[in-house]
Amino acid sequence: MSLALLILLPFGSSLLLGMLYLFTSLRSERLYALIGVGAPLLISLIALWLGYGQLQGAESLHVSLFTWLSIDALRIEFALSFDHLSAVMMAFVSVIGTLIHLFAVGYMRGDAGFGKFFAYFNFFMGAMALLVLADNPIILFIGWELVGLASYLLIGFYHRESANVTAANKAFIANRVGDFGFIMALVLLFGAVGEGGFSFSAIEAQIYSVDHALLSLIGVLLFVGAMGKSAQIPLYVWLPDAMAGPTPVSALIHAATMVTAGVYMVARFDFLYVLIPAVGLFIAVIGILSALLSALIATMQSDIKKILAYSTMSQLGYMFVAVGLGAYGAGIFHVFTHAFFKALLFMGVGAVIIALHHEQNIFKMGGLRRFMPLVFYPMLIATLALSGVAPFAGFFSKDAILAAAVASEYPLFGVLGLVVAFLTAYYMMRLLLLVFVAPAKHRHTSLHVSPYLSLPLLPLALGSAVAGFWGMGGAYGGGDALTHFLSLSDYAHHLTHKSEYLLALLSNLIAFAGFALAYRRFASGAREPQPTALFERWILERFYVDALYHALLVVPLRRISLWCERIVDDRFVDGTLGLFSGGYRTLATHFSTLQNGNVRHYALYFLSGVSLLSLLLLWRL
Amino acid sequence: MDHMNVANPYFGVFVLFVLTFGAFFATTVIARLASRAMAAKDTEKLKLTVYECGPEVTKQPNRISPQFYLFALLFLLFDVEIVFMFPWAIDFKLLGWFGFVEMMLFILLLAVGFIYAWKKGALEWHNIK
Amino acid sequence: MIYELFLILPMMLIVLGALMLMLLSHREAPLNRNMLSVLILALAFGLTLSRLGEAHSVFVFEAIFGRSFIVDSFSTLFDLMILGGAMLTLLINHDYFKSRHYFDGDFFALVLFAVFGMMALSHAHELISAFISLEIASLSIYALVGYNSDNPKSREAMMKYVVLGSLAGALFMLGLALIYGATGSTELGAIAAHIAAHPQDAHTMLIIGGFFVMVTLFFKIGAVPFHAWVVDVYHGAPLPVTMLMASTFKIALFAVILRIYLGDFAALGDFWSLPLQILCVLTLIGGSFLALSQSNIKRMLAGSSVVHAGYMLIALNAITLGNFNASESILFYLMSYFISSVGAFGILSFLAAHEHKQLTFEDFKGFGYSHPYLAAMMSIFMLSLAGFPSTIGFLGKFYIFTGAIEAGQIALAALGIFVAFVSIFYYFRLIATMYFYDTPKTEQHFGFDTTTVLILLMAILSIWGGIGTALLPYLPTPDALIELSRHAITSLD
Repeated sequence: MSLALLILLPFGSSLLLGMLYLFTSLRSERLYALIGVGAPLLISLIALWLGYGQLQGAESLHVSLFTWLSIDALRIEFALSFDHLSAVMMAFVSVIGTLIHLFAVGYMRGDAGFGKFFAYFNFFMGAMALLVLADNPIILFIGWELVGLASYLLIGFYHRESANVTAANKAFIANRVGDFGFIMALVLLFGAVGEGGFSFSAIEAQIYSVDHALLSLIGVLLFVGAMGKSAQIPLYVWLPDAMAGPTPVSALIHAATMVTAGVYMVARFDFLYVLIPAVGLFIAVIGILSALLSALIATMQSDIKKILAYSTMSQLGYMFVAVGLGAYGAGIFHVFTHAFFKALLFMGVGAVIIALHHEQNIFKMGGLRRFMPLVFYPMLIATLALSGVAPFAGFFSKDAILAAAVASEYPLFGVLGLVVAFLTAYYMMRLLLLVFVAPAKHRHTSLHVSPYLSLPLLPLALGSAVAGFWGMGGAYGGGDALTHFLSLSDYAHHLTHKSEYLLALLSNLIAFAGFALAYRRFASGAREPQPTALFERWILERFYVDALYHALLVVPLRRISLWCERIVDDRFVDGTLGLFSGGYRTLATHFSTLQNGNVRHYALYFLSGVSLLSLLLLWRL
Repeated sequence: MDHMNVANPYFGVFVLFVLTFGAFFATTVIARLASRAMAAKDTEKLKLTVYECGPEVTKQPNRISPQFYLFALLFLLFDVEIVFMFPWAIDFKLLGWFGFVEMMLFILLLAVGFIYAWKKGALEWHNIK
Repeated sequence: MIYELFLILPMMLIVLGALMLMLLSHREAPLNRNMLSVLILALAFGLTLSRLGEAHSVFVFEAIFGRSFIVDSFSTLFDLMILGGAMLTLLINHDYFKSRHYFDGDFFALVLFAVFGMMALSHAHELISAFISLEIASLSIYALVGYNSDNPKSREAMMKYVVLGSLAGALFMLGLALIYGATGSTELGAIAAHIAAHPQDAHTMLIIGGFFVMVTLFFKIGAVPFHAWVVDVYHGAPLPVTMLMASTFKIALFAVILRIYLGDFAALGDFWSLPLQILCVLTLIGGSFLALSQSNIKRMLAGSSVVHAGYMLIALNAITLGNFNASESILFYLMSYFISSVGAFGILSFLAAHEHKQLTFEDFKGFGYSHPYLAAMMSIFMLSLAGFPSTIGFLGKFYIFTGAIEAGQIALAALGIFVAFVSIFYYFRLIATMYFYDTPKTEQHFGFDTTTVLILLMAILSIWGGIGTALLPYLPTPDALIELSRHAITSLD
């Protein structure tokens, strides 16, 4: 029942908020905020309580609410489950979600759509809970689509500006491409094992009977879905544009929770991917390429939110490297720690943006440390965590991934991972220096930060600092508690303690090298870069991928549509139809002249009908 | 018409029925067409008066009050019901309690109708509502 | 005895209620007669509901009335539909009744009498009783059609309906006489026994008699070429009466048609199917012609109701060809049509109550901006009437067409689908008018009252009936409705 509550509470409060917003003239922000924050708070309490039970070794929970569909063999239960994996996901999603809701109260203050925003936000929480708790792929897919819908609605929240709507559409369409793969995978999977039940455990039990080639195809197609949702090459283009939404949205959906759904899904299907290591390698390659590409792009961006967006994509790449190489525990561990510091970074950035009246260019900021220490220090912690500096949270999870990569058959991933780590440290320090340390480029002398905006940063800062200890590897005396708790089907990687220390040292050194380079270039302020070298221009233009997509996909499609509209539709279809419908309407007009209002004529029709039918009977008898 | 059942005595009636409708149809159409074709189209003012031959239309001198029709209708309604009571009265013993209850119900229904008519003022000669 | 009394208690309640309202009609007392009649209907509905799903088939007071009057699960379902329909009709017109001065006590008494006639129709197991019930219902409705005697349209409509209705009634009596002459009885069971006992070609007179009976019933449901009255009468009648005729009365007529058909004449299917097919084709095409050429919404809905009768005739034809499952599809279609048309008429009545308009297509220009919620619901009803997927109207048509195809009537099913496409034109025309024109009017506030809540309910039902899998647990689904109809039909065998 408590599982159903996890779903029903946010959906219910979303409905309530929506109704209040639509049908009443109530515009009291206090009321909306109370309901809007209350629901996630309640579910995080429930999730923590249930998660604590799991930690104590309780049985995983399964609830089947009702049969959703039942057509012959196709029998879909609306079932939820709460096992170790969903416990971890649910716990951090709800807790971080609650903090971001709280932050949003401050961020959205005075916005006309305050109630609508929280209705959408709670709707997202419900959808995410559904995704995480789903007991079969169909329900997972429903949650998957609903978070996509919430994301679409929230990106386009300021829908009066056409750029935002375009961004929302872009996100939706890129996700549709991914979802197509996901659906195909589900169909194939159902065709293969659907007869014997379709819950995750039932699929796992039957997975060995599936043909290997088919399994590989399913694995690839599922990953195509994940590419869309988790913004990996080539479906990543929507994520930077999605920053058009309000900053809490970026924090909640496009950094901490929704985009990690792809990683979660792959981890959910660990039993499937274990059987197809070749596909796993493919995933890892895509992951590391995405990580590298986006880290490179991030080094040249000047929009503060876009830097974080590319950084998110880069970290997601890390996670995919982990799950691709079979280190599912490490992947989820990074999802877990990343949620803390990335949410924190976004919220800090949100506070900065609000304080500077929606200025987003980092080259026009500077010197903010004095005005907002409560924002700066948490962000500093988050930056250190993100750059993988020991002993902050990111260090342990990143180290686990790098260790897995080095220990695998393809140590090249480890090397590239270190390169990405260097870039990460560089662009994060660049951001931090330009915003907080470098000489101010603005004329504000005092800046006010509402406690709603700064207070939620503190628990997250704490989380960024210590969350890593839960999954601390054996080398540091931790014993991989999280990985053991998750008990996913990881490959056995082994790295001696000595080489692990070496790796840790190396990665810290690299991070500091990145910091140093950034410090040298930006500590005393810098102008917005005017790219000179070809390579720099490429990076600034994001490798022309967007332009390429536009030229290769959008333009030809538009041409074809125009042709269809002008020639096929207008001349051919409409012409033919027009002929028919025109004729039919003429006939109708003639027929309706019979309807002349004279009752004697009506009687005549009646009786002639009777007599004609009588004649017919006469002939038949 | 392979298995036409001519032996049936009513079959002729049916054929006649069909023919009647045919004739009806034909007559109406022909009459309409003929009158349209043959009639002189004269739209002179006198032509359009009610009585073409001359007299002016005046108020009907012996106008019957509509109340008269209402009364006639009510009379008919209640009077005809007596038809059911005669056979009941004659076979009163045979029909026994069942017949009695049945007739009382019938009269009750009539009474309701009567009260209704009364309350509506249908029985008052003047003062039509 | 007591049990049988209990069985007819709902009908007795209706009659007593009608009498009571009749006697109260002169009073100027501040009495909400609408609510009173709804209360009476609701009582009867509750009593009938208690018998739903229980298989039973009892001739009431067999010793006295013979087998002329039956209470079975078939009639129970139809009673429920009729009572529920009348109740919803009265409730949804709540605003309309308040806005017009001429609805006094007599009106509601007449409605109850009409409901009584319809219920009796679904119970009649004998043709004379069927005729009397039909006339009770029809006479009440004649009076209701002309109820607004200040409106010449209304008076004219009543006159037309009375003249044509009596013509049809005369044919019914003629058919009745022929049937009696052929079989020596007017009781349906006896007729069925007669048919079974004699060879096929000895039924000439019976078929002719049955033909006349059917013509009358087809007249009442408005099949082409007996349809001419429909548009004028629907237009002239006050809106609540139009709703009653279009939905509830039609339900009752199909009750008697199905009972006669399934019980007796099904055995003579060979003779029926050709005339029925012709009627189907004429009704579908003629009805769509009628609906296409109207500029008044009420007249358009009247024309389209002819088309909907045509769809049900397709199913009836499938029955004559031996596919008895098609009868469930008729029941389901009746319900689906009821829901969507009551909703659509409800919106008309709501507007007529508040804005005194003719309700032509012109008046709906920009409706989507001035009344966004009502316009959305109107769109749902139009979609449902057009049979758009994911509405209840789609499922209704789907069952009918599959039934026809199972019976081998592919051409008819194809025509039905074609006509459904044509119907999209006139239904979507309204949607387009609502949304594609600007209006100088500002947005009107959407208030919740009896009328709007019921309209909303109908809209939800239309959608839920179309997509309602077990998405909402613990609620009956369309499958359950079909199951219910199937169950009810079994009592006819």
